[in-house]
Amino acid sequence: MSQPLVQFREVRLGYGRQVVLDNVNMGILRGDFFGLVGPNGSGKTTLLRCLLGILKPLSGQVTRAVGLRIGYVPQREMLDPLFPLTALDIVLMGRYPRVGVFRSPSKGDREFAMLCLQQVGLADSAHKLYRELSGGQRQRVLIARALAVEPNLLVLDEPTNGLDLPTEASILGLIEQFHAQSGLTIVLVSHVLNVVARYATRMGVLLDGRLLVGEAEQLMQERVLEEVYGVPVCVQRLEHHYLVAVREVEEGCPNA
Amino acid sequence: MPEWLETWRSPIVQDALRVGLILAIVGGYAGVYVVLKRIVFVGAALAQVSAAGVALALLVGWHPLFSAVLFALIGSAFFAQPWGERRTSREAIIGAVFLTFSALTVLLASKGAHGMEEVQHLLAGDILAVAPEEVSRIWILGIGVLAVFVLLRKEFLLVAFDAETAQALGYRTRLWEFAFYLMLGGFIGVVIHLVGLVLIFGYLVLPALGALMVARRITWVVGVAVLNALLATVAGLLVSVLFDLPTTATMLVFMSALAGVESLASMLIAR
Repeated sequence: MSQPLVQFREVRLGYGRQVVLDNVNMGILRGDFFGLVGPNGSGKTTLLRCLLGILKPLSGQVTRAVGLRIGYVPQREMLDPLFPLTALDIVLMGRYPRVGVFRSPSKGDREFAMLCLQQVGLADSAHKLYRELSGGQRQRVLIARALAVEPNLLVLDEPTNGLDLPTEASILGLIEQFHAQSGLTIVLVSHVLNVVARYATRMGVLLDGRLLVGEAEQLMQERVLEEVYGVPVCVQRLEHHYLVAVREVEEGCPNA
Repeated sequence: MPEWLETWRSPIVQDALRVGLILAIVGGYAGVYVVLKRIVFVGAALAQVSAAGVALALLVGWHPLFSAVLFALIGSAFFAQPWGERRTSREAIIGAVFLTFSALTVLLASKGAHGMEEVQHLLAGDILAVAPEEVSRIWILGIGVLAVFVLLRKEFLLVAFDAETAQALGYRTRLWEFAFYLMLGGFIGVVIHLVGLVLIFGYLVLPALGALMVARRITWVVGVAVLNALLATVAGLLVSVLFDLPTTATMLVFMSALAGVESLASMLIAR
């Protein structure tokens, strides 16, 4: 079995004295499509920040594979559209660590950034302002920037938030394509359970300050999800798709 | 030779022009980041903190430059902190600093030898009163600050636009934020006792505001902002000499007018 890219061992996470997550044990394996889900306020962002190396654990151990390069796709809403930056300007930011301080991106960096834009289908929009792009196009620009890092781990935080259904499907299809074609390891963070379960091979579910990790099939059980969300739910599986719905207490599930 | 031309060529006006030009270049450049980072009032608050430093220096006999820079650096370290907004907004903290140090400046100056006259000077300043030996000092500092801003432009831009991704890429964003505020605060601290709070604040806001309205690329925005500041400096100084008007106010009127015209032009183009 290959060495995990990131390994959490008995990790406690929080801010100051406040513990948000405790006893976190998980590994992101090479080639994983790992989905991280949990209700709002369950600690997804805290775990994500630790995964990215932004937040140090209160205790426990987080080990990263040598040569780990993380391409991070933040939530679009976090970025200020006031900045007069083109799609290409933003994708070039992914090259900055390689360029180094006091230097400007080279012609090669620009060509690579254009290639990344091409991979997400936005080569024609390279010189358009980020603020003038649609939500789906902005998401693609941020994915292209993460690819410009030449990552071996791509981490996406709520990439489908605020997108219409066709755009959501195209963005998730794009991510799946990178995973399938180049074996890129993916961590997808979302509060939308159906989305994560559709694509992830392994999942982490946050529950009462703990993290349950397992195969998607194991975790997409009514018993587990009822414990996580604290409400009665129905889970139906249609090939690779899961349909999860809250049910009235007195009602049964359609397939029950 | 007409009287105004004679005045224009006088060493006092020429020194003011030299000081104005470097302030315009550095202020115009840094102002783009100040406006984009939405920290316009941090600029004003830092200027006010420096002003309090000058007032204290005049009271206790320190060198005003030393005190102004020291206060500005302490202010920079304070504002570079990543303030959470759970219990109060960042704006409220900036406002509290501005008000506290405004009051402190007045109190300290009222006990000084020059009293409220000094407060008036700190607020409005007088670019025509800059001593000749200060001109080269301001240019050296200005070029130094500008060089840092230019050399670190991509890091400052990344941290300003997307601090979280910058952290994920390995940048120590608190350090970069501190470096930015250090440059800004240090610059304000050095020039405030010479040209006043209002002119510095003007250079940091108005040229960038107009530039953001008309220019579409970050490099063009910076270029137009510096050009705006230079035009307003030369035109403001010339008109103030021609019509015997207060220099700082005339320069600010030109900066505002340029920002207004550019805003109008951008609205007309967008139609």
